[in-house]
Amino acid sequence: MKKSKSICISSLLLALFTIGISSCKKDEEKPSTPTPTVNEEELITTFTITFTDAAGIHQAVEATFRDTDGEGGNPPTTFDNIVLQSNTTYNASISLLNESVTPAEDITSEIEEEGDEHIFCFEQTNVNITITRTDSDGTYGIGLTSDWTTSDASNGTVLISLKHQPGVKNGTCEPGETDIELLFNVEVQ
Amino acid sequence: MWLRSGILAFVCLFMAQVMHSQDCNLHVSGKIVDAENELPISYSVVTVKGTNKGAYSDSLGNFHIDGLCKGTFTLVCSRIGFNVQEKQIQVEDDVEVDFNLVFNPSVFRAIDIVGEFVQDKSIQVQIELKGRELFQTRGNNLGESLKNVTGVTTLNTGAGISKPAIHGLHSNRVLILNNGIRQEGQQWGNEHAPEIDPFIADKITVVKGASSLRYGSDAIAGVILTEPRELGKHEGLSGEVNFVGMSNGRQGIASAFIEFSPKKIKGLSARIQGTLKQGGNFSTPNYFLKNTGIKEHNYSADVQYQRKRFKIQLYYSQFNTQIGILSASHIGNLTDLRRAIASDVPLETSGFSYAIVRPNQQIEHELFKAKSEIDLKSFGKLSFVYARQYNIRQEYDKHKPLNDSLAALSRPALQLEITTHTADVIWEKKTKGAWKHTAGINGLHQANTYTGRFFIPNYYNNGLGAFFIEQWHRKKWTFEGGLRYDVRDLRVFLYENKNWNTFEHNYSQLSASVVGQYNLNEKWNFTLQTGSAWRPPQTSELYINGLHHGASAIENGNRNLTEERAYSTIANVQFPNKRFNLEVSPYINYINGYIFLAPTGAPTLTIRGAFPTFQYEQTNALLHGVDINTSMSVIEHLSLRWKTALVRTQNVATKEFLYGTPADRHELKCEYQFKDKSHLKETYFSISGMYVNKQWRVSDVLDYMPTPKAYFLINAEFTAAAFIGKQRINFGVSVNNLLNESYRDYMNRFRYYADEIGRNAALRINIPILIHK
Repeated sequence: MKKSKSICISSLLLALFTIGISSCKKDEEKPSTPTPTVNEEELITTFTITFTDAAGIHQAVEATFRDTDGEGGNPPTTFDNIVLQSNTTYNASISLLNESVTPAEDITSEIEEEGDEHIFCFEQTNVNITITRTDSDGTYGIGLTSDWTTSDASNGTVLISLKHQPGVKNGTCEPGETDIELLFNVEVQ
Repeated sequence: MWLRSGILAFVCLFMAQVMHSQDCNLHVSGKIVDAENELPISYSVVTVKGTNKGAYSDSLGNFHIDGLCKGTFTLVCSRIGFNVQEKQIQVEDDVEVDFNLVFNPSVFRAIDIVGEFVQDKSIQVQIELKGRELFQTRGNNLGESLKNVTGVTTLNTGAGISKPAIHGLHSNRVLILNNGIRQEGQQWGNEHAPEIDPFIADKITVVKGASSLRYGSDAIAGVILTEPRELGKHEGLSGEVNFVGMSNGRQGIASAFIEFSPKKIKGLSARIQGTLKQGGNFSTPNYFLKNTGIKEHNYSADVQYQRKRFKIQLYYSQFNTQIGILSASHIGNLTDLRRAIASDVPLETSGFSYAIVRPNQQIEHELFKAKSEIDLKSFGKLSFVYARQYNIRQEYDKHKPLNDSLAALSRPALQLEITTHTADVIWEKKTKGAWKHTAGINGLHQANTYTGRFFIPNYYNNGLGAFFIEQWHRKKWTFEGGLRYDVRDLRVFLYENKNWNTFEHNYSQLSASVVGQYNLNEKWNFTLQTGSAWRPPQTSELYINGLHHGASAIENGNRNLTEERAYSTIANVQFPNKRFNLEVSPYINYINGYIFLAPTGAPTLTIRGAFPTFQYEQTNALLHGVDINTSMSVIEHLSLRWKTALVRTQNVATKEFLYGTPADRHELKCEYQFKDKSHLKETYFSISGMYVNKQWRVSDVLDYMPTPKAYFLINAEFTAAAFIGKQRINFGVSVNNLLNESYRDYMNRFRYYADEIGRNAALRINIPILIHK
């Protein structure tokens, strides 16, 4: 009786031990294995704004901000100034890229698709430029394309921001989260 | 020749000492019940007259004293509210003695008696949370449960995430043990709460000071031990059912365990336990906190088989939680943060909901433990412990990826998995009267991987430590001292500049501790504890790199960091008395190489704008303070309790205050005990007021907004034990923040976005189950 009891107990414990070890969850990766995709997160690394003269007189102007490895790490490699001619109307067009991956990913189309959750905002200081959004999500403007009408020569800044406003977009720059905020130096010649 | 004789003499002496104690390994155990209704009485004291031996009975009324020699003894059993009972026993072999205490309401004392015996534990300065005090915290997470322990505060990320802090220090400076095993998860993170269900514990202990050699070298501020009720103390079926309901967040918590000791198989016992928790959005006095719901499901199983000299135990537990992160706290950039600070109300508000959406955290923690104990009689006791932990932490950002196909995968933005294996061999031996020896070896092997956004790299972490602790007791003096040596190896795999690089960090250090205790006249109790502990820099402190969204800051690691070493001294003066009880613990902690985040001065430019940038640095820090806990019985049945906790910190190099030091706090509680009735006993009502000062000891440079104002909260509590026939039902009603004050706390990272939660009324029911077979 005693012997079978101890056998019973030992096998019970052994069974539990085995169940315990085998049913435990496991990490499929090993630390020494390089993580397959280093940057799965979708980054916006490059912002380019291209100005085309509506009248066709002046040359096209392009200004870029580029920080290929995202926030932190190496500093941004490009942050251009915007130089525009006075008394001109420009058609501006914004393009966004994720250059941390190869080939570079085009984010502009994603923003366009989710136009009802995004808005570009333009805040000027010391420069006399009238900026109007020219695209629309059906109700409100988005700002991927805009008209910039300059007047006299001046020097200042324009703060360009991209706000993510899922469910709270109301045409203003108040609600939502800021995904891009770039303070461009602007010179109107 | 002299060397050989010397060694021989030493061995003989050692053997003689070991052999001499052959007869002093006998046990006395038994049960303490109420003479009137035979219900078990918990937390009574049983002492052996004329010796230094004794024990407390557990929640089922069972007590156990070992290390007794053959002979005749008088056992003295005492407890608040009951007459003292003495029994003379003859100890030839292991003995069982039961006590039937007679109820006597005039035996009333405000505070439990402090045992004048050497308990089977360390004499280090510590506070235990058990019995009624633990019952009053049920339903809260571990951090919040410890808030009432003097000297312990919490570091919060909203009301759902709490990390315990001892004397202001937390995360990697506080060691938390889950059923005797070092809790290993991502505890370095300020937003990472310990993944332990407080319901598994029957007793939670906070050990203060840098002196815990037994569990590791890195308990710089102290250790928190969570201990389940011992198995195998009761035949038949026993258990407990708990229900908690809380008004704020409309939280419902249910937890139960069943314990079974079959009569037919002597020595076998098992327990199954589980907890379910669900809560919705918390509310402040003026608005709901959007997306602050919580879901938790935990369970554990414990099997033990015990014979006279041998015990084996298997334990498995799983902790699963999903925690909603306040929507308004996930902001884009510094401009957004400034707007949030400028607004009285969070930029996103809502009504009540149980739904948890993005952003949220999902964590799972698994623990498997196997332990065997062998009683080698005169050679002491040997324990072998093996444990495996697996922790997976997933962070879901506020927004899904813009790309639709990526978004459809619903992956977390960041996922960390860490697997830890630990193995311990511990040897313990008590000799006749004076000495207790403990020695052991601890091993650790850990592997960490990440998926998604980079935050900390992959690594292997290995550690090996050996220690010995000696405890000596004679008359009124007790001394405890020990040494520990640890070796650590950290191997990191980092992807940078388009290459995979391997970095290795090695550490090897000693830690030490000495504690002295003097018992004067059964009135005063003095303890002086001094020790040196160290911790290696965490992988996050070495290699972190990137934007910390929740903090709106860029944080950079520092690969040149070396170990942190703490020299701490803590004193404890205790005056336990029928009418008046005082406990004062002043402490001082000097930390050489204190690792902290220092502002670099130059912001980092990113596509979202500029962010302040912080770099991990090392300095020398000085921390000191005092914990005061005093109570007195004003008139019979009415007592007043006062608590104060003060912490002062300084960066010795710059003379500035350290960031994140808790403000001074004081609490006054008035408690009345009602006369016991036939069906309602142990009835208490208390009202307390807590004052937390404004933390003005700060350096402006490190903060985005001024520290919150001082605040005063009123709490009330009612607990009682109802009896339906012989069935006992413990119940309690508590109201926190009775006056629904609006306030913010310096130690809550969400103070930039929202107020603390408002009034919270809770109902707690605990039903102990006892079925004799």
